[in-house]
Amino acid sequence: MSVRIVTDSTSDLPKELAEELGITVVPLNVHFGLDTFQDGVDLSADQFYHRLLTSPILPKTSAPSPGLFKYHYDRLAGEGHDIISVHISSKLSGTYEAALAGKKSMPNGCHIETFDSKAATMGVGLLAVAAARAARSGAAFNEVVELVRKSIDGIHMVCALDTLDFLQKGGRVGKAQAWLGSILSIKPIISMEEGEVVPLERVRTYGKALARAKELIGKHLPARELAVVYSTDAEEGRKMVDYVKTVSAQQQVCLARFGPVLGTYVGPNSLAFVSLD
Amino acid sequence: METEVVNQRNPRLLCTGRELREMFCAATRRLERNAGEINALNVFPVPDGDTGTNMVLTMRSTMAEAARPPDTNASDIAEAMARGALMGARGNSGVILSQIMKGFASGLQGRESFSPAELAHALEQASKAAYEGLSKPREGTMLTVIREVAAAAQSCARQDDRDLLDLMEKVVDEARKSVERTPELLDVLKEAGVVDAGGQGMCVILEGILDYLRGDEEQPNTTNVEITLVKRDSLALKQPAFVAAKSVSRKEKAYGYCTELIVKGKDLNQAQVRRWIESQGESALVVGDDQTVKVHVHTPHPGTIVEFAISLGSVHDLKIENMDDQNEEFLQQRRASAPAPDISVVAVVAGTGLEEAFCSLGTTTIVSGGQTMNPSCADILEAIDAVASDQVIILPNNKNIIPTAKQTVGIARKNVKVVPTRSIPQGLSALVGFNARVDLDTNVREMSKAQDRVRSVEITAAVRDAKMGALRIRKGDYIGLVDGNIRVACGDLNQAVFETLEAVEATNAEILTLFYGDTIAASQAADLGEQVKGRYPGPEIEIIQGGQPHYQFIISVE
Repeated sequence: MSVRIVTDSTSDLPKELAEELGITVVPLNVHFGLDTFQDGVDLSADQFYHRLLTSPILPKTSAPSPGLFKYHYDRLAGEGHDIISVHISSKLSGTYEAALAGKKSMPNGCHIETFDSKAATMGVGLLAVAAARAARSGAAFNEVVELVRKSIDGIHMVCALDTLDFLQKGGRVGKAQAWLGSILSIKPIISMEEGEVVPLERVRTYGKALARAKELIGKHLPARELAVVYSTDAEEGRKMVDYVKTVSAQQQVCLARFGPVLGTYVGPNSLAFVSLD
Repeated sequence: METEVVNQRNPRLLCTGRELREMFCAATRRLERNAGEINALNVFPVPDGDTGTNMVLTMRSTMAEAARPPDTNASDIAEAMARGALMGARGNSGVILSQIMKGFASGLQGRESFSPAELAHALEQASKAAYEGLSKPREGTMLTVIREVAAAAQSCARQDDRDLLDLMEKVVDEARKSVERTPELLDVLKEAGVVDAGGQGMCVILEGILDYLRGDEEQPNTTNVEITLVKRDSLALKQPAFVAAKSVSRKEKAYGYCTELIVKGKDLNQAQVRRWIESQGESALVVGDDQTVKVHVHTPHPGTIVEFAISLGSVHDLKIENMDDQNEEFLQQRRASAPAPDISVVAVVAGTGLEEAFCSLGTTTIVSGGQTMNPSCADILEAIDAVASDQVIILPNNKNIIPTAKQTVGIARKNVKVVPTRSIPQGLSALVGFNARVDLDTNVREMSKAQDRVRSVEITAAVRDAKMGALRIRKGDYIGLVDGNIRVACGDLNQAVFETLEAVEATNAEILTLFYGDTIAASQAADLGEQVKGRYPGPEIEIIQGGQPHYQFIISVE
């Protein structure tokens, strides 16, 4: 019996990393009008952002079906695995509920534990990575469950956005609502608390947002796992990785990209730093 | 059955002097809580008269005086209140209010205590005095409200089974309707899409009296959100504040259950059913005949309504819906959008566009003022008092106003901090650093840091000839200031702008925000904006209508 990790596509886990660690990534759906895509399966990030900026229709997103979770759970259980399934905050998406429903439809005796990570993007991703690494080094099901349970509060995020518009239009603006409606252009820096978006600081320019985000990262270092997530500006992403490596003296800093689903809510020119204590 | 209905509460047939004082205290508190909302009902885009604040201040003076006489005699207390109102009257609305109090007192003259009929008489006298006090009484104002209210009170008091609570319920009901009709009577209100602020203030006072009689004063902590929201809505100018005022002025604490049912029975006394139902909640509706009565009410205790109905006959079509559920999402959005539940920001600003900019970034209250119109300590204190929070941050936005702002710190009964912003750009920059989710000291620290991240450019016209160092300035020249120091003087406006931007090294900036003043056309500002973009391709450029007087342009360089 070995433990396998399942997550969803809002984890924004780079494909190679997911494959290397044997993590199953269940895709959410992105809809442009009647065109439906599976996140990261038949719609790449590049295609998505191009369409986001050119399409008159705003994309919508939807959770995977419980049936899709059941399909993957069946497959893994059939191979004789125990399953730990970690997902995006249930306050942002119905994915966790779908996973839970998938789990409930499984026969008794299957070892499946589902988690609401209260996080998004690589916050979920790093949790899956930590769980997969533990499983790989031989930890038992219960031990991995315990590890995940304890790790959830250790996920931190600092995310600089170009605009709150996408979060607002997508209905995920959370406590950053207080910053809506500004006549002057502002660049918000947000985080997540208790599974929802919270405002950290706002500044006037993107340059200042990045500079301030770098300062805010400091208190989360050093960390067990580190990641930088960008939406459209890979160059800034790489620079941020270099910066984090320098200040944390840690060599493993994962560079990931906001996929189509989270891209719908953060929009272009977003940059996030994520850590797991 | 009839006695059961009557026994639901003790009828209040007399009101003592002490109670008179307390009901007006309750009225003043309610007015205080709604002051921001009333202030927002402003016909003019410039806050040139804060009706709510003026009425609150007038009522405070009224109540301070009311505390003087011994508390047994209604006549003496009303007399004292009238005196206090007259001394403390602020603004147009305050003056009318003082006339109303004067008439009210004359109506209660010689009374130890008063009955519903005597209260109606006093309201009648109040209405008369208000009309007599003005050379040109205008309808669609608080005058209309007090007149229609007095008439409603008279007709209610003629029915001899009415107690004080009945009377005030009728009065408040009529006041609300009367306020809603004010735009039909006064074109400026209709055009601005608002109800009359003074009328609304009058209505709030009467609601406060009713609160006292019902014993259900609403808790102040729920109103912070209201004030802020209405203020912001109204500043969006296009927003129909009329609608906002109607929907927001209702209680926000608990909607309870929407309870609907039909009672079938014999000889149902519809009037008594209605009175009882009305005493149980809001939005009460009782219709039907002596055999079938349909009841609709919003109440926290639907069970009581059902029990009551069953005692009358058989109950049909029962429907109970939890309205809190329906409103939860709406309320949450509102709460979330309130900039500061615990901390308010008061900013000294002149110009509609600038006010809007400040409000859109989370300013709760604007004190109108600036370079040539420094507000007094009392003006700023007023703003501090009017906000619902106990912690207040002041942005003076002008170096001449900083001392006045600091003066209020020692006087105000609230925890006041001044972030000493010397210009509009500094004020906005500080405000961007404001975060409602962190404590006062952290905010003051972060906002003070943020104000130094920006440089301020101001372009104005010289009012006289002058010589400043090497700079020879002629009257009418455009002068360019950088952080308060004159750096440029020339005859051409655009040239003055460019030379000053050069002096501030705008090419290194990340963002230039140009606020154009009240004498500059939007097209002229847009043209200049294009030229600035041409010269400075690096920074982001925003052109915003500031509407400020005296300064053709205020430019934030960050």
